[in-house]
Amino acid sequence: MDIVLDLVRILIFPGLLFAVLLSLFLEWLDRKIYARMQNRVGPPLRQPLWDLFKLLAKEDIVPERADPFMFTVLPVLTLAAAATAMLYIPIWGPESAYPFWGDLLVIIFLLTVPTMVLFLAGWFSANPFGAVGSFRTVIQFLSYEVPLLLAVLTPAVLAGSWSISDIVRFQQTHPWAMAAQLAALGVGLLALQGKLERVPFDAPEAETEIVAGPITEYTGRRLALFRLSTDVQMLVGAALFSNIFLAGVVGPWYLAILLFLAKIIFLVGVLAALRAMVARIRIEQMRAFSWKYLVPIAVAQMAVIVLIKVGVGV
Amino acid sequence: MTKYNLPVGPQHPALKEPASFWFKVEGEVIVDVDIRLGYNHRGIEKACESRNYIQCLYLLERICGICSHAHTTAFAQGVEEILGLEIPARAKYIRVIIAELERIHSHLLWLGVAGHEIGFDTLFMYAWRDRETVLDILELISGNRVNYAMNTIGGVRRDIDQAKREQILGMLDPLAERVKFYTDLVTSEPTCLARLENVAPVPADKAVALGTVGPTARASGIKVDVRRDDPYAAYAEIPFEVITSERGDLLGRAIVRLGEIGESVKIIKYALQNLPEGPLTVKAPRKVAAGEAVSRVEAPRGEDIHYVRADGSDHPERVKVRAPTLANLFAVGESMKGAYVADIPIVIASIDPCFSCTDRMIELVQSRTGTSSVMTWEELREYGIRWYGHGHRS
Amino acid sequence: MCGQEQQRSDLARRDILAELCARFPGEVGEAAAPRPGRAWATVSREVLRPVTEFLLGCGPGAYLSTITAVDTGEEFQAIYHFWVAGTELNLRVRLDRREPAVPSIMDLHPGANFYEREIHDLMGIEVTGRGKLERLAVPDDWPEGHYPLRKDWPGLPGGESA
Repeated sequence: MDIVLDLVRILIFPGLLFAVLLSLFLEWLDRKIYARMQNRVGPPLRQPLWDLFKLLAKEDIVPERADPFMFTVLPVLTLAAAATAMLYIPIWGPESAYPFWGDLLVIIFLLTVPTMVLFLAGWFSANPFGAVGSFRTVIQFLSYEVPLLLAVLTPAVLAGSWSISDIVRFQQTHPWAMAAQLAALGVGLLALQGKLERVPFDAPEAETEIVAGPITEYTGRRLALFRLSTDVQMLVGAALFSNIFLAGVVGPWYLAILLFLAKIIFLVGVLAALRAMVARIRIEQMRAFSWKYLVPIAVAQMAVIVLIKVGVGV
Repeated sequence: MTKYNLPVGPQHPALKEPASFWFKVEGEVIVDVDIRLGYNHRGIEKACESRNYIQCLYLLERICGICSHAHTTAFAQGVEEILGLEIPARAKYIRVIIAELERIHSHLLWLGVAGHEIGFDTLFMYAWRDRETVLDILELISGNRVNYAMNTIGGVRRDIDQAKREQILGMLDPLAERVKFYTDLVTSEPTCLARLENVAPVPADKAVALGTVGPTARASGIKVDVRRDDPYAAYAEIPFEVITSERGDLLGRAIVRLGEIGESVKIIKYALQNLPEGPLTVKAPRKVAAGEAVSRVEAPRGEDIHYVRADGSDHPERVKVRAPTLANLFAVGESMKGAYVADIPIVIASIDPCFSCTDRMIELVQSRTGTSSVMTWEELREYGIRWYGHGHRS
Repeated sequence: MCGQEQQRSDLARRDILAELCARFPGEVGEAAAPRPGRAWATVSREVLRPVTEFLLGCGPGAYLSTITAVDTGEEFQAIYHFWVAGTELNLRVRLDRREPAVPSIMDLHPGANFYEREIHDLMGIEVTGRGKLERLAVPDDWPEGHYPLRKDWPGLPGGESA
């Protein structure tokens, strides 16, 4: 009954349902931390879920000049890509549902899909704000993608493997590895913030400038899918980082899942605090920041890792 | 580079009130801008001509929710000048106190909006939380958080007694502390600086030629302030500094406004401690002899000028209002050429625009349906159903 | 002139009205200074531009506060409110109801742009010498020839109004 097990994995755990529920929890956490830092009360736990239901029930409008096919396909695609990535993330132990030698690269690729979808979404919605947002999405992508890749590459090089399971096992046997790649974690988190288009890197969908950027024209359930996809991307990003930078999880499965939750909560907390503490920077400032600071730091980190590898001989 | 038009407004998240900006954009750089106003015209100037002076006062108070006291002060001063009335000293001081509270309230509101426009919502939440202090003080004095209805022709309508004075003085110092914190924050936080420094500068000569007023002019190094240049109410007797900055950019405007809050706190303290005894009003006649007057007030956003013309009856023949935003708006449009699209919201916000003040005149007439301009809820509902039912959906 | 020393009115308050009368003998009527800091004068529209030029050159930071359009019933008036050297000088230009027009001063003072458009939109005073007056305050579909601040404005056709 492999097919049943596959379906359960894809649709329920750790696939779609689990990813959606956990990401809604993370959205709540993000909003709550953000609100508390702003001296506000913040939303109740169920708010993201109600928001989702509300959007699903809202009127669904396709602009006359927009491409109806793309308008329908893109939101599904972005959520599907993000949720699929969850299948390759180890949650209850060092191994994911479908571990294989190159799963790290697959996750990076799957996380790229929503960004490309966002570009197309803006492009095909025939709206000037969408068009500006699309351009900015691409510029931002070109800015953070290199540091993100370098950051993710660092633990892979250290462990000498593209497999997340191998990286996790390596770090569990060599705990100092986590300290050696702290700079990569920092670069990675900033790049992730850029990927998720959150303050200070939210120029592609800056509300006060271009309304909502690429998703300006989206309403109702299509918008719900886009928002859900962003949440799931945040989950995937945090989950990936908890494995490749923070040594994943150990112990029996119930303790392991708790440990997993603790690590992603910590990472999302950092992301939420960052967005509460700064203003949005312009897109060309984002580009300059990325190439002036993130890339050199990531390259230096890589050099350090290579030296360690040669020196220690692991 | 691709050239395209980017509409901002009349409905846009960056605008808290409707106005329309059409930007010609090349890539991310603004080449030209066209401004259209009038979405908030309510026919106030025309309406004043058919109301008596006291009614006008209440109508003019509602030009704008934030600088309401500035407008009533300007109008009352104009009428008092035609009547030749000298209002009591205590009333003058109370007018100053309310005006300065209003300035703090407006500048803190601006700080929050500016924070929001550059995506710094935490600053927005903090600034508005601290603004509550001022609103509480205003409520304590007048019973209202906005539209205080303190002015009347010939004086003010409410007193500030000793107990209230003590209470207000105790609330001002923590506020001044917070403002120091915000000044530090805005002038040192890297992302704030990245968004404010050297953005859309207006050099001094341009600021004069374009007729800017208030904090916008002062941030370009022009030392102009109606309170000092053309003193009204009790300003001639109260010491204060005119804050200026030579920068001309958005950071300069933030520094000027934050500095002014500090000065306002000092003015209020001085006025509360030196509040003269005496009556609050002098009796003003209902009818005003023929005459005309020009009255100027330093509203939070700059010079607010009223022209009042009386014809001997109990209602004015002409009331003209020029709110500071109209004077500053043209300059902001000009300064935006060459700036980035991302700067649009904060550059517009940097003059603290108030489109309710700027627009005020046209009477709203339902030209399409013709008949009634007030709809019942049922009518509105049916209108909505008709509108959506007849091919307006794509 | 402006710019170097921008302290608009740290200068002592000058008797700008006397200077104006001396500079334009016979052109300035109804000169009055009801109180310090206020002055009134009437000029014809023919000398409006030279007078404007003179006033703006009178002190650093002299500027036009606004233009008020008044309908007295018999005539129109355009009142130019200048802030010059510590005085609000209100310069009145009387206009014939049949042909209300003033020359533009936008080239002398760019800040006059919106005020000129405003008096045209609302009082129907033509402003000559600056090309087409784009609408500023009234909507695009506002009918031609309707100037709401005029005393004899009947209201819009089909609307209930003044």
